[in-house]
Amino acid sequence: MKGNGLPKILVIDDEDTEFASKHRSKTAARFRTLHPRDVDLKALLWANLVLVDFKLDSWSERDKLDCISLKPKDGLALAAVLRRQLETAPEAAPTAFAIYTGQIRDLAWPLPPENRNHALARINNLEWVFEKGKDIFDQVVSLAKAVERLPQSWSITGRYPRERLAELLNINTKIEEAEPLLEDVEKCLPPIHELSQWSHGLAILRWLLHRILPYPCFLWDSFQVSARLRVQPELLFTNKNLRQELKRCEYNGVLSHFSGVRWWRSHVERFLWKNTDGKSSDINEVQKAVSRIAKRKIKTGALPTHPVVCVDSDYQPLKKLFSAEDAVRIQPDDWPAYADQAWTTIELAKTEPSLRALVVHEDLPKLK
Amino acid sequence: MPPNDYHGLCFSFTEMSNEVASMVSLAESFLEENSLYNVLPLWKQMLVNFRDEPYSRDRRVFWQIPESNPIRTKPSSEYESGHRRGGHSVFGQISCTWEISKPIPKRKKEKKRSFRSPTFVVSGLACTKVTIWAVENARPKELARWTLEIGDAISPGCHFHTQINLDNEHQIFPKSLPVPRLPALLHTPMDALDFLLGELFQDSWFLHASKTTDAGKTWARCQTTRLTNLLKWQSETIKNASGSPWVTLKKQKPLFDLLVQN
Repeated sequence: MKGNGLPKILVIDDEDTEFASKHRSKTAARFRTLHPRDVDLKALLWANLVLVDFKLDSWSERDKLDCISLKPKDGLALAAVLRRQLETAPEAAPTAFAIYTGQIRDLAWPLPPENRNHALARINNLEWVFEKGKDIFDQVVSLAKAVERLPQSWSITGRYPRERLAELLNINTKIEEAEPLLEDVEKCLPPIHELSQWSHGLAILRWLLHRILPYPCFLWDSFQVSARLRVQPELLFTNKNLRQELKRCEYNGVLSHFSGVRWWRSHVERFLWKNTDGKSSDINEVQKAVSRIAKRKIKTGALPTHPVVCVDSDYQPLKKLFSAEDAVRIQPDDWPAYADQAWTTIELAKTEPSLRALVVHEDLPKLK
Repeated sequence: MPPNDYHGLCFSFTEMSNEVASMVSLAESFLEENSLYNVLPLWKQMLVNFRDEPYSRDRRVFWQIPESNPIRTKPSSEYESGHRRGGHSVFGQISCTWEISKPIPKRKKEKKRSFRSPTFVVSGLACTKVTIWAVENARPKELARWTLEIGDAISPGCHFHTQINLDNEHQIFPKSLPVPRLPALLHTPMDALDFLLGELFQDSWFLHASKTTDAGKTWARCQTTRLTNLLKWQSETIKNASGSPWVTLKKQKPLFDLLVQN
């Protein structure tokens, strides 16, 4: 598999905005910036990631035309045109397309824009939607690097798809821990057969970006891990000993750190199993083990016995962990069936109509 | 089979995991949230963790749902069938302890560290405790209790049995008297849950469990294999009995792979 060169990012912008000029000198990736009028197939073939500005107002050549079919209104329309150009080019390698915008509300409307980049990308046939004004450089490079690691073509014969997936996710199939990881991954329906053949493996990246990283499934974020370990989420980062021990459980495949640190759920469970000598379902044993590893007594008095991670109306995890008794189950649109149950607090469900509407029917009596 | 030839009872890791997963899905609307999202997933994960451990001689694990954090049903007064309602509002709890190990590797490939045994063995403690409680004056009061047990090499009584043991403060079924061991068909913790839900939600569980859902089909497949094999074994034992069929059956120990035979 590839992945040793610098990823190449083509920025298409009607104005040379600060993103391109600010990061042009960095060495983590190679950048080119082109006005839409100057984009040609060669430039597209060069890029691993094409980053298209959403608002394209300074494009006089387009504006002079009468035929609307020849006038892509914005970056979304342009991205679709350019993607099709690449798909029909025989020498094309996988190329990701992303929008970047300072008007995410316009792009998202009528959806609320907060924390829905994955949903916006998905419904607009994009790999991602980046927001101007936020620190997106590392994310952009991460995505470009992930594309750079994809094979030129994706075969669906034999064990190839599974092995390529394991490579991308950095699962060493020669070690005994690999099989449980791959089993967990396969339960989340990776598109490694027909879809990936058609899209040169981009479908895998989309699956990770849109259907895995935003949700608790075979990868956990710090809130899920802290709930399992029964510690406050910040302890995972502030306690060096704990962080060091958990490093072995961290996910370091493609797009790792794209949305923050992730840990392999299966590795965390195995970690607890080993450190509790097989008593990982006993919360007292878990607490003892975590205190021993962190080399400090973990105060759990304020934590619920069996905490759940609750989200707010922007689907952001709340910093505090709640008991299932103080929470209700919700069914946000498009929440994958293989992901863990989504929760919000009773208090939030009572006060936020958008959350109340998502509460599962059986939990409605809790809101009375 | 003579007791000294008994080496435990074999179960499939995959089938047991499927059993737990399908029952969690099937029983979702009958169980409390803590049971669905904490107790049962952690208990299933323990089995997965043990499966993924390299083999170690003499390694035994207590695969358990503790009494301090049991499976708990939602409250019900539907323990009478038809439109009748019981006088109590009750809930049920299940806790269990199965002492499990892995079979001794025999073939060369099974001795590799990376080999994951498809089966585990229950040869010691295998007890599932079921209790029924009423809520009176905001405090739960235990109304009923029984256990589902699988015997070991030297246990008297029927190998698969149920017992009623109350605390010594009660006058009947004291703990000091381990009889009667009533013969039982059901033997896994998920069997116990299926049974309990059928008792507490007489009509609605029957209706729900009869639907052809994926979870229902998986559960049915798992339970059918085990119960069919068990009944066949009992039937054969009785047919071949020279003396009292019941006494013969009571003394018999099942074959190691009885419950995993196709």
